[in-house]
Amino acid sequence: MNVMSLERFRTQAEAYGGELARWPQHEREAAQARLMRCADARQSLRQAGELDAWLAHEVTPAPHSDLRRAIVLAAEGRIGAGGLLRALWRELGGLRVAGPAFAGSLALGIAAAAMVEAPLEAEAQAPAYAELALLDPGYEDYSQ
Amino acid sequence: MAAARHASPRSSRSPPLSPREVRADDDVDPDLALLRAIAGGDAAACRALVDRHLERLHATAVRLLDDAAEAQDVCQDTFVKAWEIAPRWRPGRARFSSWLYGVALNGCRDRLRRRRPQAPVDTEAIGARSAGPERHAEQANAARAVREAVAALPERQREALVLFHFEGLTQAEAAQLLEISVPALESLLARARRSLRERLGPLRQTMGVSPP
Repeated sequence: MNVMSLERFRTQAEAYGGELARWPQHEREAAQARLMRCADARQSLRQAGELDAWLAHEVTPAPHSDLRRAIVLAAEGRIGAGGLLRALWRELGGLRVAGPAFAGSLALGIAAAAMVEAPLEAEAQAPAYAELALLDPGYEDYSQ
Repeated sequence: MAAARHASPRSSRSPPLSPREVRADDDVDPDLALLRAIAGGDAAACRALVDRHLERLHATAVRLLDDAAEAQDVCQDTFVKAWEIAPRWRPGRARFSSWLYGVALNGCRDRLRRRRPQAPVDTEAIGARSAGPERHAEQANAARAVREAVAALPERQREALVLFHFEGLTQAEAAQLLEISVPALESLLARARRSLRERLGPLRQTMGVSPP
């Protein structure tokens, strides 16, 4: 066990007060030993205890019930909106259903896009075919 | 002592949990089960979290700000942030209560910085106006004297005193919240208590109040 000097004892009493249980745990045993054999240490602890007793006069009022109500209402509003979405998510099967559904939608989307792109390309190329036809000297024969 | 008075209710205030709700992490942080319930949309868990922490947070804010209205605002702001983070809370880094205290502490600091500098407490004036024949009047005067003496402490000393002495946090918890070492906390506490003794010492004779 470490030996605690009187100076160290006073410093600790000054900081942590007159109750050894509130001192750092690793110093309590040494403090107790110092206390047993030193009147000056007992005096320091008594003085620290007097200040503790003074501080015990100060009691803060309990929070007003309106404050609690306002805080809880804010929470319930937040939980309410979020909870509705979560409930809907659970109702729709959550990730187990949403994953395959998303993959299916993606595949359908890609397929639909491919089907739409083909005619567009044909339309885009159509004027080029027409211009080539106009260059053909025999075109006029056909057009008449 | 105030610290001892606060230390035990801290754990006893926690509402009981069913065995299904208890997990290994809950030994490390007793709020985790409630946070999981809040993430699942459980409004009752919100109420339980408020009941568990509001009184102590409010007391801390009142002591740091010495203003009941501002303390209420800090509490509301703190819990708004709590509801935001609760569904995303990841256990392991810090206790939720430590995070909650940190938010409240920062809220108090912001408000204190926005204030105009306050005049230091005149201890002679406290003594002069506090002479009362009744015991309860003496106690009320003593309480006011202590409150004003605490409010007159420099900000960091006041924070250290409130967290360690009044709220009963351990040295490690208080030091972590203040982002300082334990020896630095010790120094702040010693200076705070020395200052309080100097302010309150003369009042013992003037007021004739004996410690309870």
